[in-house]
Amino acid sequence: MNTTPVANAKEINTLMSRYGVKFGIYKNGTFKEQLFPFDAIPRVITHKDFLKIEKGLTQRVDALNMFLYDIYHDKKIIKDGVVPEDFIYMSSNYMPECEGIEPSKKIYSHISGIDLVEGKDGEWYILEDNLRIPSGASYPLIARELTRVASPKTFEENSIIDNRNYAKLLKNAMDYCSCGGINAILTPGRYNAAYFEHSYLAERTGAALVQSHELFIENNILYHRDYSGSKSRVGTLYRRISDDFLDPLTFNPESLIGIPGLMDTYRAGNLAIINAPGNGVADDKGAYYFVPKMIKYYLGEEPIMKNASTYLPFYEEDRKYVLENIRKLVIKDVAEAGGYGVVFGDRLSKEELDKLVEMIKLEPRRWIAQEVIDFKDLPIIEDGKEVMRKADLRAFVISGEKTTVWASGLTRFTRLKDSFVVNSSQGGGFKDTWVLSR
Amino acid sequence: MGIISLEHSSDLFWLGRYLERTFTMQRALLSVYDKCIDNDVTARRDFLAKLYIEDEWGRENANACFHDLIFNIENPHSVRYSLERAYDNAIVLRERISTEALSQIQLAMDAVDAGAHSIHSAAYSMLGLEDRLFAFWGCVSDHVYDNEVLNLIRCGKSIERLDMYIRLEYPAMDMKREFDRFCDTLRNVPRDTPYRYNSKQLSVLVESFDLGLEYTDRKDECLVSLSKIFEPNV
Repeated sequence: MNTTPVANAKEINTLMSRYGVKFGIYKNGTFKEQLFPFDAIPRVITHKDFLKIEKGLTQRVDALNMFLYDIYHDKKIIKDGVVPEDFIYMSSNYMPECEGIEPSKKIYSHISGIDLVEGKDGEWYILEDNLRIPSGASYPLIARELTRVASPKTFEENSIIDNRNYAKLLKNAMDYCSCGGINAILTPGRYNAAYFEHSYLAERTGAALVQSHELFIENNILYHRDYSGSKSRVGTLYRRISDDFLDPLTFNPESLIGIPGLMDTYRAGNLAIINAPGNGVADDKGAYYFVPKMIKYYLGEEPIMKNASTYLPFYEEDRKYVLENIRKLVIKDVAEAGGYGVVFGDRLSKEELDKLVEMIKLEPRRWIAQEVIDFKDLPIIEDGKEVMRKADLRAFVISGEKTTVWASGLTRFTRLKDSFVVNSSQGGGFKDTWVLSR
Repeated sequence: MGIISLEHSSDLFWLGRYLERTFTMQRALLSVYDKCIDNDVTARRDFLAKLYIEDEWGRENANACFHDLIFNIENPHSVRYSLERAYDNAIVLRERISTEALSQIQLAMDAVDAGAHSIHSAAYSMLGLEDRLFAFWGCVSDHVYDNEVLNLIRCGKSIERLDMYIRLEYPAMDMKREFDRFCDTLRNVPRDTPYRYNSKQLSVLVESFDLGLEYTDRKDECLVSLSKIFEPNV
């Protein structure tokens, strides 16, 4: 395992600051932009490991896309008893408004962010699927660019696959799915936490960066109006707004950042939306449990990548196991994201534990439980010294004309010594992710 | 050419204005400071009066005045404040003006912040700021192919420069030169956008700058016409 920091780490961080590689957070009601802390010791994935990850994630994402299409159409997986219907229809992320809609090229999840960890046993495990609006690809993308500027020798001396093709992959997917017109990235605006990513990807893909008030619908076609009043048709909309706020006429009527009538345009087949509305039913932490079964069902294959051992209190047998072994499990609220709603059984007080047990008994559908994976720590530099911290990897899989696993990813680490929660919104940093070419 | 939303057109325009305000303000301030070195007691007072800035420092604290008007981000008249506002406009225009151009504004802010605590003189520190501002203009000239985007930023720049020159009563020749450049930019603005010039207001400025009259006699009228230059022609 490489533990050598890339040379000129100080220069790389200077460049990060220069180019505004930032992340927004709200603290005490105030918006604050801060640099996304970058650690100079890269995560290295061997060529052999990546080949397996590539095959495994391609298989997984293809199955998830087929699942989504099936759920909103023929529901064969339910009729054949593989996934309980209650489980789908009781999910708060199932969207009946998406029933029967034919998305462009039948793709639901164009950008899938699959979170992985490397166990101490050398095995890679899937922690979570993110199919709604997974973010973070722009950080390793620009970090690689800047590292090559500051430390070119690093790349002469190591055989690393060039990852600077992400924007091209994304643009290709947008072009492939387009229903005719320009590509646009819909942002809620500057004060969104991931705004850097929205604007950087717009620059790199050549897509227009737009906000909802610049868009309008006419005859079920989405247009952008420019400052002279003229309109341009939008063929693909890469939306960075959650489903609930996307269209106030269909979803949350209080949304001020959505586009009224957007779903009608989508339903009429006049617009590709990346990622499609309704994906939450498949990236629900509960749906995670069924993904290996989806792979077998739709592809007739054994899953290449493993889930963490997972229990669903929804099933009586699993519920019994969870309640008996709660102290050694990690319990997750399926509705939460960003590392929130994750509790480790062994860290709860008796009162907290009793409360959690009651909640599980009352709403078993709301929870999943997993064995704690003893995943590898990675070295990071802190105050000039090397320390070990937990880190995960968000791999990005782009589905367009074909499914491609990006030969890179966002490796996130926690700052806190004994924490397993690596989400950037809770103060962590990131590293470059090297995939060796041989 | 690319599509520009109404909001982005305003962001581009005000980016130009705030960057120009930063540039001209620091130059004007340092010019006054230079006179103060030679004990010109009226230079600072007149400068503040022309810009309607209250002299809260007094003659005894002239250095504090200059320091504040350059480095204090909380003071809306300061160079640093204008630069921050320029950044606010630029950050939402990354894909228009390029990451490289945006970075020049970040570096400009870094240069000013470093100057606030530097052992060097403000004049010395401001050289770093000027370098970055010039680099910004070079960047946009190189990276931006959409002339409409460039024109909007240049319109803002020219209007701000003219506004500040009028207030500070710069020589008529400087005004004429800058006004001619502004007119060239205006000619390239598409007719059917909110940045089509108002003929009546432009005529006032033409009369003031083009005919060799002493424009300072019509200072207020010029400022009003400049502020209304994009009002719809009726």
